[in-house]
Amino acid sequence: MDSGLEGKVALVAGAGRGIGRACTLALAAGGAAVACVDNDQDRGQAVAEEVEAAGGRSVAVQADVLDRGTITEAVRQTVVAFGHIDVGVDIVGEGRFKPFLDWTDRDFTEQFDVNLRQLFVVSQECLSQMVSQGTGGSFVAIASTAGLGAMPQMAFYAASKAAVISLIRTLAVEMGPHGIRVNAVAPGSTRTPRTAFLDEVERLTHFSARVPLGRRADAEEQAAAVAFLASERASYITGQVLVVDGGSTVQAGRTLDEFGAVPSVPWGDSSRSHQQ
Amino acid sequence: MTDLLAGKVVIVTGGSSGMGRAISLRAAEEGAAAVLIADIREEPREGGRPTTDLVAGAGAKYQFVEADVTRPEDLARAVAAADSFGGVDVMVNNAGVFGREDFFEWTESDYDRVMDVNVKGVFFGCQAAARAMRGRGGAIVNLSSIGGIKGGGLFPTYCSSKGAVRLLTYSLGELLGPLGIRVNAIHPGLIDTSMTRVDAPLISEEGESLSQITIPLGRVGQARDVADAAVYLASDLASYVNGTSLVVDGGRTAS
Repeated sequence: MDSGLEGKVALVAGAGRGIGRACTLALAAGGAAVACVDNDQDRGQAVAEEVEAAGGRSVAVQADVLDRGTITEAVRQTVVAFGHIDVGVDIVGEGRFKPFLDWTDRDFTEQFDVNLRQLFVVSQECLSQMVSQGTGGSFVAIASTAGLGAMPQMAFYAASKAAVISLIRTLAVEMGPHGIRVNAVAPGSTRTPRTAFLDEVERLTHFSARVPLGRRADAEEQAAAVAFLASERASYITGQVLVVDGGSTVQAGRTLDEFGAVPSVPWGDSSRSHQQ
Repeated sequence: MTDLLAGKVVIVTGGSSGMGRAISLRAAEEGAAAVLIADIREEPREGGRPTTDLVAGAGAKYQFVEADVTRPEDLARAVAAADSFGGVDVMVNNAGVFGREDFFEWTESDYDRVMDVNVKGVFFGCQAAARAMRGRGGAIVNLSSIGGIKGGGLFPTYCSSKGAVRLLTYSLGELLGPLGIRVNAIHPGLIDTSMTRVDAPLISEEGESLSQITIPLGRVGQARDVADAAVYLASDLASYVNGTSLVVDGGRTAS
């Protein structure tokens, strides 16, 4: 049976590690050629080589999601390498921890830049290309369960992810007539290099016991949802947020304070590695 | 991302026709070891060969179990029938009824009929499956509807029933998740089946609908679109997906 990705060309922003890398590998395993876009040249290249070593097709393109010119160029290079783009995936994002009263103007701007403004840039460049091709396509963004409710100490991470959810709905309506689907995956707590510091918190507090499935997700489990939405298996799904959280958010009265045990630890770093 | 249900034993209520039929066939195509079709009738509403024939053609074992989902004992019997194939791994509670409702004339028995099939049938289907899955894990997929998220003035009982399926799904996701049983709901939009052509004439003979204009993808859905979503939720691709809703509606509810 066709995976629904055979012969497709995908551009993955944030392909260098974590969920982005897992998405790249999942798309390639489904038969898609993948352009690995990352601001870390070495990481992007390593993932592209991983794809090729497994028999797939991939190119690495260095780009900064907050520098539109580099994204335009990444799209162009993808088209040069593979002829067109069918799938756009944007995994870039970053979370910042601070009690609300400590957030600065700069924190706010940086959170919205890295979680929303970059999505505007990446999605607009990818979707413009797809519209000009006239053969449909699919775009998948990464939201978060944080965008569904409160996220104590991560006020503008949550707010920016709520904005992502709104955006993909509007994009779905505008792009639908072009045969282009736009969706998002909302991960719950997921183990990635970026969230590795939580391994110790987990060991001490077993906070994942609150998840009905009793654990955090692997990056591969988020990637599987992204790959599904990107594929033809989801050809009637658009404007949707697929929550992949083991059942965390359905519990009545529960708050998303999984990180409550971690006092004011800056999550992510100021060097903007942009991975999730 | 192929052979997604390799070796699994799948039960589909309402599997003889429409979406249930498409789900049954898709499961077989994805490598299911066996597909059991539980339904009050074996003959497909849309005509053609029995669904068991299609399943067999795709290489899976099959069994038709005559079952009325409004009777818990029938659902228990369907689940028990899966034991001879190795025990149920995937339960798809798909059987449902739909039709135009005249709210002011609606009777108690009209109400009960919709609720009995659409809610009670799903509830006891979940119970029967969960009892069997308790020691070994599994996946339950419940068919709700976009009517279970947004209301519809022409279908108040139907929408209430589908909303109930949604919250039942979320509740069981919390309860059964720790037992390794994932429970999720699909919310189809306007899908081309006997329900939307005959039970309430929403789709024309040409396969079109006036409300297509409100659907971003500009077309009504096909049963196979829903089947793909069911297979995804039932498979290991969805190993961290639990207690959630997957809407398959061409973007209608996003508008």
